[in-house]
Amino acid sequence: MSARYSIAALALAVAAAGTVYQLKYWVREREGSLWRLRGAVQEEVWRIRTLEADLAFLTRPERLALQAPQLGMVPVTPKALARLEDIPRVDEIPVAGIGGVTPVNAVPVPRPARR
Amino acid sequence: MKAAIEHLANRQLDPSLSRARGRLRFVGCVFAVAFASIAIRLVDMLPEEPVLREAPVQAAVNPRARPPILDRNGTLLATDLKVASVYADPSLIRDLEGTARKLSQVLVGVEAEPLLRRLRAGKRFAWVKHQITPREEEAVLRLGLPGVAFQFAEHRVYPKEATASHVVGFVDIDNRGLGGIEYALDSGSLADRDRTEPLRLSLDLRVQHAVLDEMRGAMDRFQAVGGCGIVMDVRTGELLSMVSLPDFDPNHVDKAGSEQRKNRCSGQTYELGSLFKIFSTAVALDSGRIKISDRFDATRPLRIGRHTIRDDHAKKRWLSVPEIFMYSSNIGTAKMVFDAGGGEAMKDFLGRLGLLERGSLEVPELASPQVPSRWPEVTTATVSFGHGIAVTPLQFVEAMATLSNDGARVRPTLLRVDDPAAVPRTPVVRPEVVDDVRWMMWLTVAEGTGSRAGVDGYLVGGKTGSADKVDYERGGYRKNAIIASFAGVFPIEDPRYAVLVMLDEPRGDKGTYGFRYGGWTAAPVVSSIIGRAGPLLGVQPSTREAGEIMEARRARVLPSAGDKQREKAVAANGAGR
Repeated sequence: MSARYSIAALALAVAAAGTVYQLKYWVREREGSLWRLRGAVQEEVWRIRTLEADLAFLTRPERLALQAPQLGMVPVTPKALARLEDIPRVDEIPVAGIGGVTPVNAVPVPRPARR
Repeated sequence: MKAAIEHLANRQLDPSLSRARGRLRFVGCVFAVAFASIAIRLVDMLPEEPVLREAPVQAAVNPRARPPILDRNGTLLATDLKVASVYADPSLIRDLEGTARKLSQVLVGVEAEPLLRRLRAGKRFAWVKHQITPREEEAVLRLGLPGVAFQFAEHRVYPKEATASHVVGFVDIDNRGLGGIEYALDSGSLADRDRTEPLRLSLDLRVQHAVLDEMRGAMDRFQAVGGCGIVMDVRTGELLSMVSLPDFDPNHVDKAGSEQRKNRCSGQTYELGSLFKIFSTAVALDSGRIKISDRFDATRPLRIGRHTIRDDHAKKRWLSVPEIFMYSSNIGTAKMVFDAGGGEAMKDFLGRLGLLERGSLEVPELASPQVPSRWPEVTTATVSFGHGIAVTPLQFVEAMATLSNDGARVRPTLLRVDDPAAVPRTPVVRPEVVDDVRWMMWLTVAEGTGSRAGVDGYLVGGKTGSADKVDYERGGYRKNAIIASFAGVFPIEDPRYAVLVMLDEPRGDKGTYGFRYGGWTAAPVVSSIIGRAGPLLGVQPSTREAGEIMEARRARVLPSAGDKQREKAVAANGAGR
């Protein structure tokens, strides 16, 4: 009985040692992989930072101001701002020719086709 | 068989064997307890899972690394890039002369002779060039020279160049902060924050550019030697723009002179002249001894001992408090302050606004104000119109924001405020006084000396300032050199932003008929800044009703033409205040 137990315990110990050995190499390999990935991530982070810096450099306000005429951009003025409640409702827009404030069922009218 | 088993069970054990078994059990129990406690302790010592994951990353943080600096909208102002530097190990180089020559041909700014001397110095390490461009790196690689290698390190870059140079600051070659926010990140108020998290400033790059653009235009036009422009949120104390001119490119700080590096907004003090009349008028009204309808004799210069105080825009008549303010009368202002309690009242009020002590801001460039040690009558009079006391433009804006913000003092900051309700506010002036001063600032722009600061779409309030420049070398004041300024608030009916523009030694031109006062040179700049920045900040245009309220008050408080005739008669009789 005791001999059987001893053999079983020995087999278990050998199996455990083998597992630990395998596990150790597996962990080492995973660690290597982790460090490689981390290095790759860091490289990507540097690349992204470079691109962000590049973008920030290319979008300098003075550079955009120089390009504004070509892009058809104009500075925003206080008169360009309005509150939503300041914009008249469709049924409050006076219609030319009829006079006064006339409720209308306004619908977009397609632009006449060019000849 | 059965009998044999019963016999074995009933057999009495040998006593010595029984004792040995008992001991074995005891020892087994002791070991079991020991191993169990070790196992429990091991489990107890296991760190939580996230810590296990984070540990190697934290170990990888570079002490040289600096956090990116962003404006309030997330626009990048400063970041670290990995940049190569070239070095050489002369002991591995056979042809030193040829190596130096080849390197000087591909590296901009590297000359063969000095490099050769460094290589022949007998050391095993010599820098060839710091922080090279990717193109130079490729060229050096193509040369394939033995003993020449690269070292990669973080290098700070400022993609917006000079746009916010005095705020962001700069670093040395080892990435250590030497000025502005960069210094604060290493040794100042921001040294304890997490260096991996981006730092978000209160600056709005769009506003900063508008201020810079307008200030540069004014500097060129009026040939000023320096200038300062500030935009501050009066409710939170956030600085949306702080421009000091001349400025510098923090990417090439070695090429900047001391005048360029000087922060004129927070690191320099100036006598700001008539801008101080905002405070003097507030002192008078806050004392409770003077009402807005009171009038003062400004018909002739004021004599104090051997000193004579005159008006630049002399009306030579009795002036009401709003008129004294809008026509910037030195005589009237001095008399008001005397009646309000003199030097003691003035000193106390300026102290409450924080103008007698060093201001606070995240950057290290902070100057202490120069204040009089004694407050005799003549000093009180000169301080009332902004001479004999020198403060930083930033301190002035902070105090002016207090007088636009229901009398509550808010400290300026360069960091974005995420919760405006949590900003500490210290009430220092009565709200009724603030209301009166605000209306007088509107009046100054509507029809006083600050009319060139008016903006189409917004009701603006403000005050002009022109002060003779102090001659620190010879003492006294310099001839033909002034500090011209304008401080404005908009929209004046519900103030959101304070704007200050200061020009150092401006010269008049044809457009200003040769005048160089603040109302001619600085006020138009404030007008342009408000016109550009207001819509960018989403400030709704002032309503017609707001303008009508201001106008109605003018009709109520200011004397009509008939009143002025009566006033002359009263003055001729020597009656009234």
